[in-house]
Amino acid sequence: MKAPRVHASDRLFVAFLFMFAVFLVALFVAVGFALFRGAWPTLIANPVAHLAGERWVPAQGWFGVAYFLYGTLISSFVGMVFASVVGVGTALLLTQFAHTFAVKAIRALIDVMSVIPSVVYGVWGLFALAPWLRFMPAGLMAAGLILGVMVLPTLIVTVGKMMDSVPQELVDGALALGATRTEKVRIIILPYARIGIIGAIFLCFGRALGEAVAVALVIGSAHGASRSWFAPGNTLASLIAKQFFSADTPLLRSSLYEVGLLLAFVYTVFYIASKLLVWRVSRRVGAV
Amino acid sequence: MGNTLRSELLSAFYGKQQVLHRVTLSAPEHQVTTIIGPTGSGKTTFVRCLNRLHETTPGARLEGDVWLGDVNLYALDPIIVRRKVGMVFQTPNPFPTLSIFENVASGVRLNGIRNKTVISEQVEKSLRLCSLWEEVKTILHQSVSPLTRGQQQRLCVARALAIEPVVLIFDEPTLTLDPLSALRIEELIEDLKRRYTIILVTNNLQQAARVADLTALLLNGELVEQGPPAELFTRPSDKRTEDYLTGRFG
Repeated sequence: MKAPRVHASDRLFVAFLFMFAVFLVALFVAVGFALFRGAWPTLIANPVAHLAGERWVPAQGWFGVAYFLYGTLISSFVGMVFASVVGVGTALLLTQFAHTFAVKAIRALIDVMSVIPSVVYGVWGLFALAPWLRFMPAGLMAAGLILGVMVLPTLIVTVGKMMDSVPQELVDGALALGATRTEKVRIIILPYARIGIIGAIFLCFGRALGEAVAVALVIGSAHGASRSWFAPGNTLASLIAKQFFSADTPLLRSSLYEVGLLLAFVYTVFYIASKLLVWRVSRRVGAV
Repeated sequence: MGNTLRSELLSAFYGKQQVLHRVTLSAPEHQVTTIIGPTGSGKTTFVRCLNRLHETTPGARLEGDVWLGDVNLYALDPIIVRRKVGMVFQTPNPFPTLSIFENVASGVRLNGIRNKTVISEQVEKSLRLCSLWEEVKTILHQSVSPLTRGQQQRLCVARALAIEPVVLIFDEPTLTLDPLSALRIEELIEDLKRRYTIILVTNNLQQAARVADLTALLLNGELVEQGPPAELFTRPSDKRTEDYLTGRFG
């Protein structure tokens, strides 16, 4: 019996799709290779000691990144706390408490806001937000808030979708017990959607960690003079954005590549941590 | 009048589409009133009007009244109504993120009871009423997922009972269950009618014949006929009832 031709075309299609996957892997390898090649001169010298240390003064050969790591974590943390609280709250309001035409319009608007490039938020932060917040000079706090504002629309959209995906029969079940809207949220919506919500928050946190342009615009410029959240600072990403194109010595350039590698490493650690957290939450009694 | 549940000229709409046409029906206390009719005849919409769930659907509205004894349910806060008129759904819908105990306790807590002993007693009592206690008493604080569908459905009945309603609505509760589990739910309904006013929506005529004290037939959103099942099934007074029973509809 002859094999049906349908089968052959099926295999062809899968092979075709496989090509895209191969392309992605190749892209990953290429980016990794470029980073390593750029960082190579300092990597072979003494990778850890090179970046260890408090101060970044290229002219004197000091390339300590501890402060930028601190700046990255603090500004992302500030942004995420702000975005999580405001974002989950807004998503709750839009999906659970209001169903008018205006709400649909607002959701559409937020969808649009989520695709505005980050540089727009950065410029807005520089010119509109910073003077308004006189008490808050350029620095980690301002950078954090910009990051928060920047990821907020994405967070609202994603978290809102998670809340929408709670099965109607469960919502009906809670309502039929005489739950108020608030109780419905507490008993069903938040517990059911929690894994998705945590996932969405981490996704946005990841975006905040690596955001360079908007941060570079509002963070001011200092290389570790002060630990204050309200003094000019820098993050790993904003450092690269600011110094890369004016890097005039091979050593500085190579060090910035190494900072890029470090950022990728921070990402990886963060990614594994978020997976572990989601796994732990979903392992508890009655996870969905 | 006691706890008789009565709809008066009840019409229901989704947007412009009318799905119930002036339905007037009485479900007396301590009896099982079954509502039969083909799929899409408005049975579910009708019972969702009785506990005021209908209005939670965007675009839904209704005309007419529902009375419990001499209280107009549409003059009350819907939250209060739903605590008096409990509901069990087609698909078992235990809360998947809560333990067995918490599923039943959630309703008790919604009633404002905070005392842990009282909650535990109420949970045990409700589970016993659904003859589920012996099966789950050792796994009370575990997830609901290992339970069979039949057990999950009885858990949903227990959850509804725990808030001490006056009326219980069963919306095709055995539709997705195996025959044995379905039979246990039927026995449970028979048992519960001593305490509650019960309304049972079903597509299963044998089931209606077995458990009903009163049966009403809905067709295209209209109440065609109501009466004791023996009469309705053997001597229908409306031609459409006869057609439905002999399989010419649905």
